[in-house]
Amino acid sequence: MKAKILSPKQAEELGLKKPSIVGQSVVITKDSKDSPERIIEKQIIRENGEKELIFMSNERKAYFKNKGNFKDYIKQFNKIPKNVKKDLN
Amino acid sequence: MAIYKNICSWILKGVKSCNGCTVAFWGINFNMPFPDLWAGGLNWSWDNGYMCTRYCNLGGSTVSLASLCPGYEIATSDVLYRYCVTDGSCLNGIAKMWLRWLRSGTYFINSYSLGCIDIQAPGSGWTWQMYESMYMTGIDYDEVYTTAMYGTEVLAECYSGDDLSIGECSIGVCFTNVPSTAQCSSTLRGYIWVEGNNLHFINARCWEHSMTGDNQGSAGAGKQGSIWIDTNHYLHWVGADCNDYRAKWRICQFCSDWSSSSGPNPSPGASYKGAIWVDTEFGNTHLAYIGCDGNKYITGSGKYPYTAP
Repeated sequence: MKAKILSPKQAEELGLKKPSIVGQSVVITKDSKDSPERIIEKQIIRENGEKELIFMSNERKAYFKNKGNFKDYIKQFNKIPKNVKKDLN
Repeated sequence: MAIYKNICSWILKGVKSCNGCTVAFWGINFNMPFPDLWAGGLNWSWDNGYMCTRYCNLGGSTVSLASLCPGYEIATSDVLYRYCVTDGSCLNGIAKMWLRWLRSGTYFINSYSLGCIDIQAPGSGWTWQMYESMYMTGIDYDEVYTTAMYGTEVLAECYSGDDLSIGECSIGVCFTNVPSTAQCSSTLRGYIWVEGNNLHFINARCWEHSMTGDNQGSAGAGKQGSIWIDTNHYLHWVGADCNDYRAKWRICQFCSDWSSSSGPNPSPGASYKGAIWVDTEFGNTHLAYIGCDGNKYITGSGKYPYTAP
C-alpha cells in the first residue's frame, strides 16, 4: 500500500484535524438558594477564534427569544446543534 | 440584586478533567497529543471549572528545572473567568479575556479570546457564566531559557456592552537551574545511537535527548547498539551491558485537541514497518516510527503525558 501522508494543513482541509480547543464556556442557573443548579448552555472556543455551541437548553432559547435576540446570539457560533438550528427557522 | 466578576488562576504541573482524562505538563516532550479535556459530561463547578484535580500549583514557589531538558514542557497556566448575576439582575456584552506568560516582567506569550456574556438571574436565584482556558510553557530559547522570575497575568477587558472588565490576577514562579537551550549543528539532526545503556538522538530542534529504558534482561553478547521495534510497537535497544532495554512509553499518534499538536495518524501501512526517524511534526522533539500494524507511533525522552506528574 502506498503511503499517503497528509500535512496538518491538508488534514485540516479534509476535516480530519480541527483547530485546537483553547477554552470552554458554560452557563449555569439556579432558581433559588435551595434549588439545584442547571447547565443551560455550553460552548467551546478554538484557537482560530471559532466558537461552537454544543448545548443550549430550552429555557436558554426561551430567554433569547423573549429578548428578541435569539438569531443574533446564535450567529456568533460556527457550529450549532441541530435542535437549536431548527428553532432558527 | 448583585453582579460578581472574578478570575481564578493557577500554574500547574498537570490536571485531571471531569471527564476522567489525566495529563501531565511537567517534563513531557513539546506539544504531545492531548485528549479533549472538555469533552463529555456537564460537570462544571463554580470553584473548579472543568478540572476535578489540579496537580502541583507552582504559584509563589521556586522550582528547579535541573531534571528537565530543552524541548520539555514545564507547566500550564489554567484560568477561570467567572461572571455571576443574582436576583433578577443581568449582564450583557463581549469580554476580551487575556492570558499572558511573562519573564522578568516582559511578555513572551500574549493571547486573548473574545467571550460573549449574556446572562440574567431568575427572581430569587442566580445565573453564572464561566470560561476556562489553558496555555503551556516549556524550556525553549524564546520561552523559559534562564533563571528568572516568570509568571502569568490574566485579566478581562470590556470589548462591548456592559462593564465586563476584571482586574488582573498575577502569579509568579521562580525557575532556577534552567538547562541550556543551546542547539547543536543542524547537520547532526537525525542521528540515533546507544550510549551506555541509554538511547540517544539529536531531535529536529537540534537538541540531544537521552532515553532511559526498562531493562528486559540479557540480549546476549555482541548485540550492543542494536535497535528494533517489537510486535507491541515498543522501541527496544541493546545497551553496553548487553541487556535489552524497552522504551518507557509509546503513543499511537492521534488527532490532538491541544494547540499546535498532532494531526491524525497517517497510517502509511505495514510495508513501512520498522521505519524510524526524528519527527518534524508538532513538538519536533520526539522519535517517530511505523509499527508492524502500519501505524505511526511516537516516543521520546520526556515523561509519559497521561499520568499524574
